[in-house]
Amino acid sequence: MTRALLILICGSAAIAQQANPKPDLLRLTDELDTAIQSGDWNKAAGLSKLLKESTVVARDQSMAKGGAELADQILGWLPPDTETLVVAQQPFKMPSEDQRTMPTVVDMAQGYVLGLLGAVEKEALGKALVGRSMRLAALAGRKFENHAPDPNNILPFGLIAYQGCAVYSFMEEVSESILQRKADESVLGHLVWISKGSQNDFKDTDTYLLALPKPDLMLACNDRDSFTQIVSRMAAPQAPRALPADLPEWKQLDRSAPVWGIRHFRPDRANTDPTLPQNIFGTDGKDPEATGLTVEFGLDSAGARGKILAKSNPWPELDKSPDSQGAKSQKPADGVWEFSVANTPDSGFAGVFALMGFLGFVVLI
Amino acid sequence: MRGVFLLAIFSATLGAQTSKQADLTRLTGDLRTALDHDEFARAAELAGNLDDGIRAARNAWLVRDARARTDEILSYLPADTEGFWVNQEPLTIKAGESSTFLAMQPAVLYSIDRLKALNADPVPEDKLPEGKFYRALSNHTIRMVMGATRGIRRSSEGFTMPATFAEQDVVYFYFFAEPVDLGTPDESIANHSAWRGVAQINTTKPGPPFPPPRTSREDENWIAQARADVLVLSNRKDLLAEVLGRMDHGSSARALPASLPEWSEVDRDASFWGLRHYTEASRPPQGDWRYAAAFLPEPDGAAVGATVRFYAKSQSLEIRYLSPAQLAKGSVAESMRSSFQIDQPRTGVWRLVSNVGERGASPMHTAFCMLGFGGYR
Repeated sequence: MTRALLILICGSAAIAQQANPKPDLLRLTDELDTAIQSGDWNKAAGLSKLLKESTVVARDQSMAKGGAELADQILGWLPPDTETLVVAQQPFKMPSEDQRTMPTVVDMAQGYVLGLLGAVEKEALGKALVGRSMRLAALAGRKFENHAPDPNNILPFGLIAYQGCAVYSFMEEVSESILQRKADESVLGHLVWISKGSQNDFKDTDTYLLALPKPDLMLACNDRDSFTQIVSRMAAPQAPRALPADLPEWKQLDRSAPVWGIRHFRPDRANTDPTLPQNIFGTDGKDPEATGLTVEFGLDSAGARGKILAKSNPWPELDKSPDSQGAKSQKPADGVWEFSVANTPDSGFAGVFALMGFLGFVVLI
Repeated sequence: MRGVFLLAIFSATLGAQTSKQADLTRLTGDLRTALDHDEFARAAELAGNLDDGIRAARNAWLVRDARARTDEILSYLPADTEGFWVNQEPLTIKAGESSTFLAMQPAVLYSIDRLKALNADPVPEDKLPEGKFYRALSNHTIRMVMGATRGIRRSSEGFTMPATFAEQDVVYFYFFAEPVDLGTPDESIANHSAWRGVAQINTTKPGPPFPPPRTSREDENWIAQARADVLVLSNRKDLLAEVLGRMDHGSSARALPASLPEWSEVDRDASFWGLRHYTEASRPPQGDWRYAAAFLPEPDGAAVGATVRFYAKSQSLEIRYLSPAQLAKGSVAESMRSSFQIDQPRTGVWRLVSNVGERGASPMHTAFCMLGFGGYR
């Protein structure tokens, strides 16, 4: 059996497991070149698919350390009362609206993290960035609550209100000229572009602030206080840190996931935050007394997985529910309740939708 | 002179291939350089571009004979064929694939929905049934699909959109990339292995009353192995036998003759294209409220035909409706105008342009309806 054939059978995972995948990737490239030259398109298609998957794995492994460091840095920049952080650390391209492939669980989760970027500058910036490669994207939020209803007492469809900031780290520098207009003001030496817009179907509910603190880094916020705190903390680290390292939630989180998230619940916001477990599960007197949540999207073991730290099981009937889309629940440790769904389009969508909602990013539909 | 002409064609073809291969070879060179420099982010991007290019090259190679096969199929079809389309964007059957995903690709959905539904277990209304033939063909690549229909009758009860199939004759041709095996045949039709397949299809008529009472019936179909890599599916056993006979013994006639004016409105290089020639029975008669002006997707009384071209890469869709009549005004027309940009490039030809990537599947449902096809469910 030739080495190339062995690689084809074993696939990208086998290449990725090598300490140095470069020799095999180069060999695959040579094989592919030969197939192209001979016009053997069936063989070329098989080889190019494997090569694509293998280089993505090699890229992710080579960037994993840098991604973890950047995520830690971002934690140091966030306001200390940050409740939720979602990090998309598997590099990806800024998607276009015209997607002809079924989005994966990871694509869907990345979509949430890209929400702020898509909304700023009347949605023009997100469109201008389509196709740009992103190294890492992170979305942090606090003070989740319902928008003010309209005169008919109807809430808007779409994302509920929150104070949030997102940090986008691009593979390559992004020129200020992409914004196609002059900045509106300067905050702590950073040019800031301000625009109105919304992530729901009411017009202009939010004011966005956008800056390029570094040539390859974008910061987008829907809250001036969060924005100011972040640029201030970028310049000079300050204690305490958001979501401190001693929170028990961190012990439950697998930070190797392509997209991961963490939330520490704020019981003092029970009167205003509809996304808190006591408001979701506790309406019939069954408050699970949850303190925190971790989520992981895109791990091999499950498409989407969430773990709630709580005194009692928040979803005891989940496995039996006809609407559960095949979700599974278990208790991996005392006081930890796990929820997972397979990486299939239908159940994956439901899983991302539900877990992002527990993180605070509830979408009203 | 003929020799020079052939040489010119050969050189042009060779030139095109060389250029495509040269582009891909350049990409592999760039990829090698990125890997040599440990630039894995750049390498991953280049490998993605390379894979896209190779898939496009493979797809083009898979349908290299599409023009010849299409001409053959037109000669095998009966002369009274009214609607015909070709989907020449290769697709790989994936059993268990999400219905949502298929709904996003209407050209694929209409190409396989009948094949998929045959001999399936009942499923909830929002799911597509997946039968034993489809599952047996999982992971096989279909190079191209052709569909043809005849016996279309004008509707007297209105229609739903997406349209559902009426009880007209249909035949589909599936060209696979390699030989396929459906197992032990149920019978033989025109000396070809054949399998009987049934599906429960929804025959609910549009309301009132609302919601209309749900009805269904069992629909019978046959699949025949015309060649090792070609399956023919029809809902009429005699039509299937007729087509298989022509495939084996040749034919001097053809469906939808080249003299039809619709052909000049067809782009046979589009990834999906089709045409329809209206008959007396499919047009509204004089006196009918739809006679004088076209309430698209239904024809007016003087309609000649319709053509469709869809480009998978750009997702652009163009329907051409051949009729000397005007398009009707009012709510139906407004609904068409919300999905299409409509103009009249010349007298007797209406052009409806849309983009499926931007507008969703709805314009494609209109296109299939105008070709005489509907969803099979």
